[in-house]
Amino acid sequence: MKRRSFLKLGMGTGGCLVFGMSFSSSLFVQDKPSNFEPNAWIRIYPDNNIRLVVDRAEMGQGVMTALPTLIAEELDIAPTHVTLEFAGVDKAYINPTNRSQVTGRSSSIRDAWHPLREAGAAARMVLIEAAAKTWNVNAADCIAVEGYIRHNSGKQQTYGDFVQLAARIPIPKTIILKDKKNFKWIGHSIPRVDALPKATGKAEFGIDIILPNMLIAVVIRCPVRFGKLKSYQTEKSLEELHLVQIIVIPQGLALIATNYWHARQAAKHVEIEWEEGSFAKANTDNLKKKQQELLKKNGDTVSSKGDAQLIINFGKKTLEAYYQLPYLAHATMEPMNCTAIVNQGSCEIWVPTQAPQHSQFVAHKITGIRQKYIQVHTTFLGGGFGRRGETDFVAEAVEIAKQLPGTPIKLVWSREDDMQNDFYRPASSHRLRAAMKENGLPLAWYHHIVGPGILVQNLPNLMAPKLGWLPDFLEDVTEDFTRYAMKNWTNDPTSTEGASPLQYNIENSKIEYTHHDMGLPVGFWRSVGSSYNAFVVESFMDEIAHEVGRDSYEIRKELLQKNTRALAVLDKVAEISAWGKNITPYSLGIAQHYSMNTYVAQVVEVSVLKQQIKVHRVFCVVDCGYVINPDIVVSQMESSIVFGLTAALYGEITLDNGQVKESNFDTYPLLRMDEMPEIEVYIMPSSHAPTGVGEPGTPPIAPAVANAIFAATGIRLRSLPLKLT
Amino acid sequence: MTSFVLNNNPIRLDVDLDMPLLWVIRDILQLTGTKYGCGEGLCGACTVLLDQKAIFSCMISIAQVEGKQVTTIEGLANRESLHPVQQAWIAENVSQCGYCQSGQIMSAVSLLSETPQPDEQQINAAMSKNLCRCGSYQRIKKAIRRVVTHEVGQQRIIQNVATTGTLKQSDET
Repeated sequence: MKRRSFLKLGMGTGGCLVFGMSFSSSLFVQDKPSNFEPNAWIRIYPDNNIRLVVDRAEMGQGVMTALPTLIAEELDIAPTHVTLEFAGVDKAYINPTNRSQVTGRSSSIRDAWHPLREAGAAARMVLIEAAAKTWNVNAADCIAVEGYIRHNSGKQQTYGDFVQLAARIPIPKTIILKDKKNFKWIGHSIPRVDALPKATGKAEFGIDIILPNMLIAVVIRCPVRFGKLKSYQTEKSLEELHLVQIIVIPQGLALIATNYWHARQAAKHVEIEWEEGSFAKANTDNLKKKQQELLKKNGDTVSSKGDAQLIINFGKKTLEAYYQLPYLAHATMEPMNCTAIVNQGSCEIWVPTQAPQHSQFVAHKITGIRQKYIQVHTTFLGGGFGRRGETDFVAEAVEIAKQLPGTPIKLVWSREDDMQNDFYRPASSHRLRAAMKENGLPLAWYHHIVGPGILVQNLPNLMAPKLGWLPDFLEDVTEDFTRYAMKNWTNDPTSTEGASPLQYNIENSKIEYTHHDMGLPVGFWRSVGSSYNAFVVESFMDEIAHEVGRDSYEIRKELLQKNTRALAVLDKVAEISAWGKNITPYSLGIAQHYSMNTYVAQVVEVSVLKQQIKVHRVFCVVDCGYVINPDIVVSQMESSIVFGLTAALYGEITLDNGQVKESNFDTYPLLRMDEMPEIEVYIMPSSHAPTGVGEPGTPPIAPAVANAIFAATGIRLRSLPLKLT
Repeated sequence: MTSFVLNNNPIRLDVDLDMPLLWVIRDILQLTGTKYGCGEGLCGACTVLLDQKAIFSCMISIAQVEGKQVTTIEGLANRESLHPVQQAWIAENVSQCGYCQSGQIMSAVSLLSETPQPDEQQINAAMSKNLCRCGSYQRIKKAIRRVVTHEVGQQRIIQNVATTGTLKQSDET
């Protein structure tokens, strides 16, 4: 028996009926039934308005539209009546998938699918019961229709009329969910609720926060990462510089003015002496060499199956290849920013964040103010992609605000700040070997990954808020998390996901990992480990196919026979792209990948003219289980494909003498309209529970393009970005 | 002292004449629909109309705006209705994170006022100045085509708005 995921909490302020819910899918250990902690709330008001309060951030992925749809469907009221609020920080809003209050790992719909609908259905049932009592009729003769409880006599009243009585009615033992065939909104492409504010400039992002008497801060940091300020001087007065104040913080020098322009201009007139530190020796050329050396040794075993030694001892045909992928920046369109005000004993923060709880904790550490007196307001996010799960920019804003008590400080990063102070997608190197059977299929597969680990580097930060959290909560979370972390310390799962376990059915396989970190901060980047492991696995699979003279689609098909959903997705993409039918003048490439519990396969049409790579069309098939809003799924596939194409064709962060060389969109280009391929998305019909859509479209695109380039030119590109010159 | 017209309102300001229009709009006049993205004219997030033509407001000083007409995203809609480009944007669900979209919309408005029937290449040329990290390009193109074929477009747009009482509600929140 599944434990209940919601609780009726009775009457709330404003005379509303309140339900608390717990999102309970989990990567980790499930809460014990006794530990019910609501982490989302529905409030039904007497005027029939419904507010849904959740901890998830809207960064373009569509939660603001999709989550209210789940509640609305079961309550039978148009989703437009349900307003979503971003929750403040509370232990009630812990994301169970990540065990902290974070929007990430494409988890929002996965987590909300059952609890939100069950709570909606329960609300519907108690409202019907309340109506039946009020009218003195049989509840079985009443239904809920689009905001009204209707008796079969024709009598009807709004939900709001019964809110007060419903609050006193116990939740029925059996919750009856709507039959899927009666869904009015789930499965339909209802328009995004944020479409209007975003088309009119009214959506408020963190950078748009304006408060009375607010000042704007910029921070000048050492060009060498981790370098410290030794001294600074300026020959001009604050007045001449149009500055209000200059403040030293641990991260550098903060220049504070009434507007961004003056703060930024003043930097030109301040001379700073830096203590560069040992990181000044770091550079990515050396890193690549070091990673290549490490590949020649053995790594820690992540997983193994059968006898992987066979690749050395057996097989007439043995194939070996080395792959390399660079560090990547997130480059959200909205640069990092945070607004903070520190008062006596309290602090308030406005920030576009994927991790409000971590933001709160950082402010607590800096100010010493107790967490319950630190209020975090999550704004719209101008892109997240993992970058806004970090709190470095929050720390800077709070450091400055602490020194100017009572004054709201809006810290705004420049594009250059943003590009050069990121937590980058790890750079990694890979060695692959395969031995082939007589029939051409792989007998054994070996994959060794060398690179930094995100969890290894960030674990103390990720865990910190829990250690400082309330005692009852601290116990189980830190325990789970620590166990999880320690177990995987030598093979950071964020570095090996997408490579291990190997999705293909090969009898003998071994995946190894060597943790090697030059120290450049790394972080979660859309699809995380899959963003690089899929490139390697799917490219090498293509190499095997060509080596043994088999079709790239057919060989995958054979090796995925037992994986019905992956196979169906692969077959579908071959069908819609007319794979093997030679009806396009372009060269085709195929790749498939499973991440965030979702299956995606893609075929690309590519041409190469004078060494210029042009992607003309992308066919994308996705199986993400039951679909809440098809149009949002399509847009997330389009989005992840463009994100992955930018990485495939351009993305590279390089480090020289401890300094990131790329600084703006001229040196770190993003895909533009004139390079945009046509994208066709097909969603597999499915009755499985919904899975992630924000990230899984990214991993297959780079290998699909590389495979198409091979088909076009016979040249195998084994590093990103893909370049033929 | 500098004077110009912003969204049909005369503005007189005493600011540093070197200050880029972007920061005058955002920090002095506190209209935040126009976004900062790169400060170098590379991303188009700050696109506004100067005498009806799209420009990067981060690359032009307030002195260069003297006596001219500036239109930002806030000045596009009139009291009765949204600008057709905005309507098309909503109908195609273009925006994801939405941060670059003010700039995208201003570029599209400028393109369509100069070239009411743009072909593929003209759309690409005009819109390639604006970056979108969420990859909404395909929908931007669809939205522009929807404005171009406005007979069909309008019908669908009206239908779309009619089924979403949500629009006003979310605007207020």
